[in-house]
Amino acid sequence: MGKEQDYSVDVKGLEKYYGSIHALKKISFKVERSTIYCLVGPNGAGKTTTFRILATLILPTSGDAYVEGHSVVREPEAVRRVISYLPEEVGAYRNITGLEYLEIVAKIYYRGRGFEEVVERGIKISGLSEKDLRRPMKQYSKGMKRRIQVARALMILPRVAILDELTAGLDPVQKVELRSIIRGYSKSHGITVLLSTHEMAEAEDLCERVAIIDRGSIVAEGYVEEIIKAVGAKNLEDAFVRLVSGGENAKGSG
Amino acid sequence: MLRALAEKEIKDLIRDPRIWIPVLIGFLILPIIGVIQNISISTQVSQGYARQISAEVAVLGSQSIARDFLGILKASMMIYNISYIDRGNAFPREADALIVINASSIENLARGGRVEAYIFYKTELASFSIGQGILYRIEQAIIDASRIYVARMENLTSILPTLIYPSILYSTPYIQERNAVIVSSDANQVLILALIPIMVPLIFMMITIFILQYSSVSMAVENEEKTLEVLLSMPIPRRDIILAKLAASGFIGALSLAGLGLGLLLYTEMLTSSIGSFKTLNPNISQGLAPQYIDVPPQIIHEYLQEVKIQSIYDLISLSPLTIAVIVIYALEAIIIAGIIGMVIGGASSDVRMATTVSGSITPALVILLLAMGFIDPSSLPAQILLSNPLTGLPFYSRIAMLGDYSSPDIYIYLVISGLQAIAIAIIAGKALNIEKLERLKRGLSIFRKAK
Repeated sequence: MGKEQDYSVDVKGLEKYYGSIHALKKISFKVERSTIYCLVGPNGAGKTTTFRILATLILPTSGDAYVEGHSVVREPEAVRRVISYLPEEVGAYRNITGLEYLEIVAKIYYRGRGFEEVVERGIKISGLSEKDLRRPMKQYSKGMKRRIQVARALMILPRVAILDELTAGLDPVQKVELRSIIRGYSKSHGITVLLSTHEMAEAEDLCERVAIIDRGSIVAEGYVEEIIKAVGAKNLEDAFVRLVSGGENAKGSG
Repeated sequence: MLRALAEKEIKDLIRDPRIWIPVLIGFLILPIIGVIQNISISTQVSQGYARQISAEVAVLGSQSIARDFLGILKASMMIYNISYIDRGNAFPREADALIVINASSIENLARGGRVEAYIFYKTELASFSIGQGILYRIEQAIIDASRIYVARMENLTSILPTLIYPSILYSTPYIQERNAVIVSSDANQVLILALIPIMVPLIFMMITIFILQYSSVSMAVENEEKTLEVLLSMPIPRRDIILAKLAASGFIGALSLAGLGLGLLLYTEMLTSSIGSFKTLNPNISQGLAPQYIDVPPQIIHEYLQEVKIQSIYDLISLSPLTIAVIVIYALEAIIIAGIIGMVIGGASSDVRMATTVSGSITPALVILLLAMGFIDPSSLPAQILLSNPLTGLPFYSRIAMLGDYSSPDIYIYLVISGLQAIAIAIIAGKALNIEKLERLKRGLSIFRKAK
């Protein structure tokens, strides 16, 4: 385990109620800087709620989380300056071209020469042709919209990228491409990536550490191999099925 | 940052065809009304006042007593383009009117009595004024004939024109609210004077409604595409997000205003030209029909009305810089309030359709309020309430400012009260602009929920 300052994200006892629904039950985990951390769990487990709290969109009922040392409860503005958030089903502004969108976002974060570099980076990450970038985004396929949103999230080189269901609804080729982009940017630019998925293959392929979350609680947390070993499973999917259906707890070291 | 956000908002809104529908409607609505009114006025002019009509004439009592009178009536009717038909059951199939003259009343003319005539005339329920035009012409023909008949009996034919049109009247309207008489005006200009105080508040009210709709659409689009979460997770002050949306809605509101203004010009042009057709179609017949304002000579006005201003019609509809400044401040306040109400509606709506349905349903209430404003005394309590709110203050103030120069210093108090409301709402909106509150609102208000 690293020192406190090596942690990019530190979630401490997050609890969230929506009316009478207990969505998060005092969850805690830490994410080391420049690593890819996955939150895996079935639909409705609490992944999106956790991410929305980390993205400062909603407040926890109790507990707190620190992103690069800033509290999401007390310093949301400071948190917003270091994160980039990709919601699960985000679309795109229908009447704006992909290029215009990247330029507008770049203007929000950068001025002067930095702006042009950022847009260039965005174009590269999106992988879209010049022709496609000049089309209004209402003409984009789901995959194209996702790519432009990933480009938007990564081009500004955030210190923490929070990516909710990165590859949901994409075809296998697109999934592989996006994962490769995420892996590359995390390594080359030292970006901490917090990613949620309910695809175990994706978690196994991409993530260094994993937290399995079910019904608002973390039921297992650690390096992928450790979780598999602790549960005595064949792979992460097997471990996941056993943990989520059986309610068995496993905690890896690290 | 604000510029980048405003650019996004304007580009996204302006390229959305759904946004152009109200702009287009705004531009077209008044000219369309103008065309319909034009057709109606032209029909009335041609049917009631200009076309040749026919009247069947019958006599009650002795035919011989009425013979001379009927001869004169026939000639008078020709001046009014009415063909004379002898009694023979022509009305209502062939004749437009049936005139029954009481013969014994003709005898009374020489003794200071009056001619009695019973008139039946054709009209239509849908365009009653056509019948009024026919009746007017028949009445004038009978009055002229009676005067000529009396003049002959009394050997006064040398002064016949004097008897028929005995006075020359010069008239100049005095506008109470402005303490001014209007000079160099004609019927068309008076029409503009009557239209402007109705149309200008209507346009302001429509623009307010449009801005409310634009901002609700702009926010609902964010919900529809789920881009609001991205926007709110960026390091952008909430104030800038609201300002950018207000700027975009205001910008498109200004375009709509230009469209509506252009529409109003076209409408006024159409209406004045069709009213003018009363005079041009048949000068004989229309004499005295359209409002005639022959100015009183200026020296008479100066001599008898020392305390009264002499103004042209354009002086009356032009506003003082101070009044314009008050309208501009009200307009800015109205943009803020309407924009923010729209944002709340859009933010709580899951898609554009829901947002336009909810924001559109506010329209009738505001239009009814606008109509009610016509009956409110500017110094009454309801007026003070209307002036203390930017949404109602803008159309109401523009209405009373157009009717007369509203110079009460109280207006500054109302401006401050409405300005404070706009600022308070903007601050509350800035603080309340978060996903959790919007979702709570969505859960709380069933109208925003999608039907399952």
